[in-house]
Amino acid sequence: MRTFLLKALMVTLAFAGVFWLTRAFELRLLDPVFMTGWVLAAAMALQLMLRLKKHMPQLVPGGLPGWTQRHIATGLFAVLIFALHISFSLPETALEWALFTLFAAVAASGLIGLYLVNVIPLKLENDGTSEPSEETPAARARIAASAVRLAIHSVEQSGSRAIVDLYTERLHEFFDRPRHALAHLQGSRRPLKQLVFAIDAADREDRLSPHDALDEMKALVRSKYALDSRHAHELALKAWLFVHLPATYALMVLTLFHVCTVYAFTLGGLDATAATAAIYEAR
Amino acid sequence: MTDNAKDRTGAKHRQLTGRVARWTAILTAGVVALSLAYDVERKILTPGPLSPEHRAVKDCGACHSNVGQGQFGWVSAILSRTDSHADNTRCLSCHNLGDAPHSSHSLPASRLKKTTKRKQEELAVAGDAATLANTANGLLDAALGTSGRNHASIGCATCHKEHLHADGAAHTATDRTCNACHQVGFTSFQSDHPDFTGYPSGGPAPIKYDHAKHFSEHFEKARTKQPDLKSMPKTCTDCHTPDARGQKLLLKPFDVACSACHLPQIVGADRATGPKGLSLLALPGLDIETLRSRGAPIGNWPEESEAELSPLMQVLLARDRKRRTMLATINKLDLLDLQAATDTETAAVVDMVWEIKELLHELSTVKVSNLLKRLRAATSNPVEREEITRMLGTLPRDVLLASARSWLPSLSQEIARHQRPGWQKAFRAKYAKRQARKGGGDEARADKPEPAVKPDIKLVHNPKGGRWYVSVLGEIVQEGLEPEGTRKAIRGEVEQPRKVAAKRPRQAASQPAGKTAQTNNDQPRSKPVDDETWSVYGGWYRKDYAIYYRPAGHADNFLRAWLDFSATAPSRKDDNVLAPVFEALTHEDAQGRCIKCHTVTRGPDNTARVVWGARGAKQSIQESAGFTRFSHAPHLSMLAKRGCLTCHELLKPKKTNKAAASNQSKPVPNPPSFKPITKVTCVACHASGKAPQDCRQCHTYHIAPTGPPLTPTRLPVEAVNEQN
Repeated sequence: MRTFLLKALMVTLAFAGVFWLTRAFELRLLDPVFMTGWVLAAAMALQLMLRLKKHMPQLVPGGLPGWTQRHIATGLFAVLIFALHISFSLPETALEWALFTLFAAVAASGLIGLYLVNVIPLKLENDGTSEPSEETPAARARIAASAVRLAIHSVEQSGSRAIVDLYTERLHEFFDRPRHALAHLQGSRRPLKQLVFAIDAADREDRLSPHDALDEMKALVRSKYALDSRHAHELALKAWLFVHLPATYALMVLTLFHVCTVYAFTLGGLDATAATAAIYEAR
Repeated sequence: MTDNAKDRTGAKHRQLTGRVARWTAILTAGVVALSLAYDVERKILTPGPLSPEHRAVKDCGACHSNVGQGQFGWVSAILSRTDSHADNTRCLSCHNLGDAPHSSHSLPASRLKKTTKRKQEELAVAGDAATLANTANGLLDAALGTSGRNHASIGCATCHKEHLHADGAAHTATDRTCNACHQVGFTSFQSDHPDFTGYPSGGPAPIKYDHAKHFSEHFEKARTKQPDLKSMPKTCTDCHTPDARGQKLLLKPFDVACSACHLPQIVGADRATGPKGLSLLALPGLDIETLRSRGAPIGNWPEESEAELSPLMQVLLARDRKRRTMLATINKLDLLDLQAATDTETAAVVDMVWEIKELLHELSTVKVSNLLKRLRAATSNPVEREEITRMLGTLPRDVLLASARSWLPSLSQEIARHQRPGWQKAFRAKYAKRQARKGGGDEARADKPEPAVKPDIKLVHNPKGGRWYVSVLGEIVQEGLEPEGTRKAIRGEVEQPRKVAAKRPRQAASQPAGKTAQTNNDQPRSKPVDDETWSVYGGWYRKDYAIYYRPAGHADNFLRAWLDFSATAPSRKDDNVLAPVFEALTHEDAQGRCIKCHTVTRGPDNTARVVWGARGAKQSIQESAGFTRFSHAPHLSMLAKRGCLTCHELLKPKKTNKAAASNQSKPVPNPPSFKPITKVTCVACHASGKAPQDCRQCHTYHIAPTGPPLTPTRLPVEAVNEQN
């Protein structure tokens, strides 16, 4: 928490400094947009160092965790500078919208990634599943096979088709592949409750169905649900990068184009070289 | 699964994301390239829509001086140096900002320097710090290279930003932009702006109008005098009306606001004594007896005339330096009492007499355009045709001819005799010789025996050997020896032209303009209206021995033309004939009473200018104050019960010394009617959380005169010829 506050303070101070600079530039009749633009470009370049560290660690000094922290702090700083750069207003043209959308995508995916990276590992540690994450598909297949065997065995044992019918109608789809990813990411247990309720209902409707088999089916459903939860979280941990990185690369291309057009079409503001009649020199 | 397996999974994931990212970048670059290739209108390059005024401009190079032609002309501009002067020039091809468009406030540096100095002195008096300074030096300036930078040349794009909003204007100047030079902490108008000094600062109002005195005295008097007067103002809007944009509050026309009371003063209807018109031409009254006793050869001249030599006529007489000197001598004399006049002065009177006769003769016989030459010769001022049209063009020739015939019936003969060479010189030599011999005129003449001629004819010796026979009025009837005609004249056998006028001088002289002196016996014997009364609606008339112009009403062309013409006289000099005209026309009791209401301003060279128009469409407070503007319209709906008095507080009427005022020969200054508006009045609304208070709300940046630059278009002669 203390580290976080320290980082937040540093980002705030840096932003305040740039904000003061914009006012100082205006007082010198210089356009602060150029200054904020280059500050933003510098922040983005600093963020790319993390990627460079991962791919070519020998070129970039320092540890990966340190660069990750710098990446996060610079990202938050860049969001503020970007808002200052666009004067806290929405864009007007296609190019501006593209830049805005890409920056927003990079920033939003980064923030989501930051959240996921900090929250999901803790959740996975406490989800009660014993299997390592790499063995999740095999565990899911074993549970599905057990559920099939249990359904067949219950017919043979009691002559009741209640469990078989339940499996065919509801549980088959559930055991077949990972389900309810969104509910898992939201932390909802509603799909699980609905499945358990369906099993209890089958028990009430057919008095011949074996209670032990139904209890065993409930246990299999809970195990499968836990595996799905782990799978969904592990997927989320990887998926945000598929937005963050491509958006970053596209943003870099468009930023380069943006800088070129800006400098091609910049009109001269205050031109010191043309200043001839020095009205203040006599002061 | 082992750690190696985990690493492999992680690496696979990183490879996949990297691949996707690279392809996305390639795809983005491709989209940009395709857009550039196929976007003919270069919309992808546009950072935003142009303001509506500039939307018709399609060529980027029309404003961006470093952008080349063609689809990719902009690429070469990426690394080129920005030239704000060249960019400004592009702007100035459509926007005219005066002679110093690149300077701050579009003002020449010298004028800006003066303004700055004056403002700083004002603020120093008010105890405020200087408001203008260069940007502060410091580390940032050193880093940016802005140390010692002056703002004498500022690019248009410093304040005017384009490609911002579809419906927005092309400027983004803020208070901070102003603070780049005006550095005293102006965080808000409410807290930091210095109090106003004499606002509105447009100088005295062009029309002299003491509001309080009119409200308290003049309107009451007018009501008493004319109880049925309906046009008496009751509210401010009876005399004032907003302009079409509601920016200025204009004075209603004279016919609406002033004529009920002031028209009679202009046309002279309320003038109890003196002529109601302005004398242009006259035979000034002379001390004929003295002149006759001194043998001054003035020819026919009416004894009864009491007219004065008007300043306007003096302008027509002052053709050269010699004549101006003569007029200067004349102006020192009392022409009706010349007993104390010296010989030189008497000679000047004689010269004046003949100059007047020549003028009348010229006006009667030569084209009126000769007057243009006389006016040009009399003054150093250029006189244009339009001016002389207004100054003299309306004078009817009939009035001139009738006047000349009536006043000086033998004018042509007199002029013919007078123009003979050596005549004047001979007379003067003879006269001087006699004076030297006798030491006195009358005694000498009394001692010399005169020939026995009729009592009204005198004999004067001609130095060439002959004699001059001079009539009672000094006219040379004949010169030389005594031929038969002369003897007849002496015996009274030749009709004396003077007698015609002498018999009924008043009757003949007071006929209406252009009419003969004949009496119509068919008319009833009622008392005829005199010419001055007849000319109540203005125009030319003759009375006694002068031709007058009576003002026709407000904005009379004749008076205005003479005032404008004479106002250009820099100062009163002995040989300056325009200054007396201006003094006569601007006197409080002058005909037309123009200067009763209109102010006179004086330039640095002491030349005067009559301010004819009220502060209106042509001269606004904004124009006269320069940097400050005000629009009445947004404020009118905010006024409470006190209305205009909410801001314009009346000053108490000043007591004037009427005796002193009537003796005033120079235009009196125009005192203000209202107390100056203070900042407190404005802050009542323009404050934090209320009405806006940014700098540009009241201040204008570009104060140099602006207007559309005209493209010099040659006449399409060749195209027309080709068609033919």
